[in-house]
Amino acid sequence: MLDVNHVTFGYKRSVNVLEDFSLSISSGSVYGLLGKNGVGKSTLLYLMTGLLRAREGNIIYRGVDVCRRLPETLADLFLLPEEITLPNVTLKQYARMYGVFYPRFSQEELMRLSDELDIDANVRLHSFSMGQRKKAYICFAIATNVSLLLMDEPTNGLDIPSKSQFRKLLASYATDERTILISTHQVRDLESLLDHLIVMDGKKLLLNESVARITERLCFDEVRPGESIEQTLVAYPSLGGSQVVSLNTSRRETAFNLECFFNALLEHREQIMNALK
Amino acid sequence: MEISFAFSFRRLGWLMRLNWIQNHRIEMFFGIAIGIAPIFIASISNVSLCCVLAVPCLVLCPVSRLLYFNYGLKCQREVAYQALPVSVQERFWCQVLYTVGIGFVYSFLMLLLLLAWRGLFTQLDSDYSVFLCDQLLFPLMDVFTNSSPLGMLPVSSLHFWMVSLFFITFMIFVASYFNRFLVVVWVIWFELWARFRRMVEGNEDMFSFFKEYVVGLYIVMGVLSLLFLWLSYRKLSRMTIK
Repeated sequence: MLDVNHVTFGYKRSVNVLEDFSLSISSGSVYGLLGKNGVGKSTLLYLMTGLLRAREGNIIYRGVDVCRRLPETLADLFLLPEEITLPNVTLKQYARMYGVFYPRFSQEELMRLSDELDIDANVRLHSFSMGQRKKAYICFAIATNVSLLLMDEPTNGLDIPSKSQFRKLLASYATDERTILISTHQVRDLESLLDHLIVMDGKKLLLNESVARITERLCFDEVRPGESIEQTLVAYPSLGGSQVVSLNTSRRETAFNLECFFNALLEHREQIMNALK
Repeated sequence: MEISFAFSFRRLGWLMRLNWIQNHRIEMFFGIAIGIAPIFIASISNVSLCCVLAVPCLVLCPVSRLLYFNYGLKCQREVAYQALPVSVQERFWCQVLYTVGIGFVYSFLMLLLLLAWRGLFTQLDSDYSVFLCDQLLFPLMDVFTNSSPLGMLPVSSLHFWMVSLFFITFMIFVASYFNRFLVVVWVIWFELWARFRRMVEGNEDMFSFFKEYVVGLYIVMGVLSLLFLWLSYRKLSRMTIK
């Protein structure tokens, strides 16, 4: 669906944010894009939507280079940025202004979503709080019905009930034809949704793997003090004992612990990568 | 680098509507109100139009408002706007139409201001001459009428179109690069234009030189127009993600 081919990019000539970066995204999945601060996650999203131009390499979406910024290509993907600036109009007016650009945009769906997220579509956006604005924009993003939805820290600023509503909305949005790519640091909010993980580190792609494959190769356990688990790779102290990442030699099914996995991957890269091979 | 051309009047219309609602509606209202209100007041009162014009222009057009006016490119910096599925060409023409459109509105306002200024002083003292007024008004009238813009070249339709093209592309260029200082740049431009015109008119050699090389002058104007257009295109279609 989307291929990032050997992309090199930097805001300044002398400093590259991404270097010979390659990645492939297939349709029908929910991807989580993880990485430390400043590693280039937002930049990658901007590059994917043609808002930035790669110095080297290209990004191909369904056979078309996104750099060409063809309206037909851009109408099939939507970027939800971390910080949003919305005009002082109502959500209904906003949808009338911006929705026309997206051929599959549905006003009815927007109204349904705004009801679910408790957003009044007849109130001016500037009178909303930051979290409400974000929710309104999320409603709009989902109502566009695009094939590739890119989200940069979508749960930042959302209250606890809204986070769970957001997960439900995304779960219902994800189909075989649609792909969602979420860049986030709030891993707890979204770990149950993700079925693929992309981890960036040091200008390069560190990992692009399905969650199913990770849990097939690794086990994530919470063990009490004094207990031990065979083939332990990494253990992190927790309130009730420790969180353990171990080799899955007995084909056990354990709940994926994204935070633990991410930390383990960055701190014990070789061990984890070898285990996933 | 591959350049893709995609243009749809429908999308351009949507983009202009969006810009209108989001950015320009209030600015245009501001401009039109300044223009209309004095005429209305003058029509229902015994005070002369010039006098009435002077008051709102001097009061409602504070220098800060006219000089520091950031339009056209305002929403270009927003990611939501940047990511819209419109082509670079559509984006460019939308910006051009608005920057030129608003440029005209504000040039008109500036003229009103100067007219009012002159009218006010003419009423006080008929011999009073205000700096810049004649220099600004007459060259502008030259450009927009089918007269000889430099006051020295043969009047022809080609001449009119060349000067208009040069003037409009220069205006787009100024609006795209110096939109915050549009009025200042305009005043400088007309002042220089007027000085150039007077210099040529008072110099026989220069006058005949321009008459002789009128085709060359047109070519220079054409090249400069293309340069202005290209630079404006680069500026208005540029992506600026922060």
